[in-house]
Amino acid sequence: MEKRNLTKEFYYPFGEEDLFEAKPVGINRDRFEYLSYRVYDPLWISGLEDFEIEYINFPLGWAGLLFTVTQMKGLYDYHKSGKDVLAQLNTYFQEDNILDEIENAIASCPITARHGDLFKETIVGYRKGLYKISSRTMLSLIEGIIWDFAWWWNRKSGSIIDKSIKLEDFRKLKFRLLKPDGQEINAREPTIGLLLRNTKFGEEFYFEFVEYYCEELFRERNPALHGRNPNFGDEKKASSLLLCLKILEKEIFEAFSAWFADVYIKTYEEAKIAETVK
Amino acid sequence: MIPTDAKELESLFETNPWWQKLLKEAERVHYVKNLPPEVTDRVMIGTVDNLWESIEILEDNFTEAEKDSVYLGAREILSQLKQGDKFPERVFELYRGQIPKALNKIDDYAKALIDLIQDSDLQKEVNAKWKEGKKIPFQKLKDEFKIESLEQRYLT
Repeated sequence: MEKRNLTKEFYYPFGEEDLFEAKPVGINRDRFEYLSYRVYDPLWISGLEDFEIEYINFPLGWAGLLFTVTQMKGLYDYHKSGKDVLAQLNTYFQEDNILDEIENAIASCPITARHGDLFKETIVGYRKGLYKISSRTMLSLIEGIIWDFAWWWNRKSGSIIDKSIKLEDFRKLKFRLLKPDGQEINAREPTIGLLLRNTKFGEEFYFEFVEYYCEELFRERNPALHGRNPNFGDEKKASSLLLCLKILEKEIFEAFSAWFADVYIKTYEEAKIAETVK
Repeated sequence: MIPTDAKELESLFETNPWWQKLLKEAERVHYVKNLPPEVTDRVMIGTVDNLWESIEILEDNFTEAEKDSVYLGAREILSQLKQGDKFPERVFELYRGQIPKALNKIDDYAKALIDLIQDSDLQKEVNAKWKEGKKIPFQKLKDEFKIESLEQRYLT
């Protein structure tokens, strides 16, 4: 098997078709035809539909982390034809094991684990069609999980709060957030809006989808969580919030696994090797 | 937070789907981070195939492309290459020739979107920034354009 330095050479890599038993899904032609298409259309990778006028109101623009390209295209075409794509979301959560997987992920991930019991009860409500209760609970879950993620991220790599703050004080919001330049943010108390819009954490993980799906979290006074809007929450809202939690969980998983790979895997593999040669 | 006892961790890796997924992903990340700069043909082909799979060039796209001389010209050259051949300069020339058209296409999309902004002062400001070629991240919209509410961000 030949090895070449890709930073120095541009060469035609194909030829030994028998290297792989089958081409991946979606590759139906000879590879040189795909390369020719790439020459013909320099924008082939740009996702130009993101700049179409209909895309402005496409509510699942952030779901690319969860869905395949084909699924995303289907959802966007559905939206483009004038239909309410969010109203179809509940069918996604009816698929086998999806809710169970989210439930296990939230309960197992060390960053989100303390929210596991609440999420479990929330899902019971959602499955029974108790959308007002589950919508409300998910709002608070999303906010709580983002704060816990911010705490973890701050300890590993960030500078959004003074590092000497204790966890109990963090949870009581007894701290001031820091701007990316290290200056304190002058506010009565830290809010999720300030965290996501004005800190280094927000620059790293700007959860635009949170702002979009959970605008309630960003209002200074929150009618849903403070009981002033008893009608808050329906099937569509609950499914949107669930999607938001799913994407959030996935983002946290990626950040956590990248850190875990650096810190744990080397030790773990060395231990495994040591065990094998015993 | 994370179990410090090796046996407990091992047990999670064996029994809990989330921890199994974590181990698999962490091993993948670790492997990729430690790859040597030289890449084998096998890895190269796998990477390119995966890229095409995720982009998904449809049959309709090919049908359209087959009417174009640039696609046909590139295909004529590329179909004759053998593994390890250097790409001929003509392929790069054909590619570079398509760039002005692509840039115009992006410009048309941007102008169509800018035309939708109802606040005329904001529209002028965004237009000026676009002409300057300035990239503005979402979270800077507030500072750059004084856009704060969702109503201002999304046209409904």
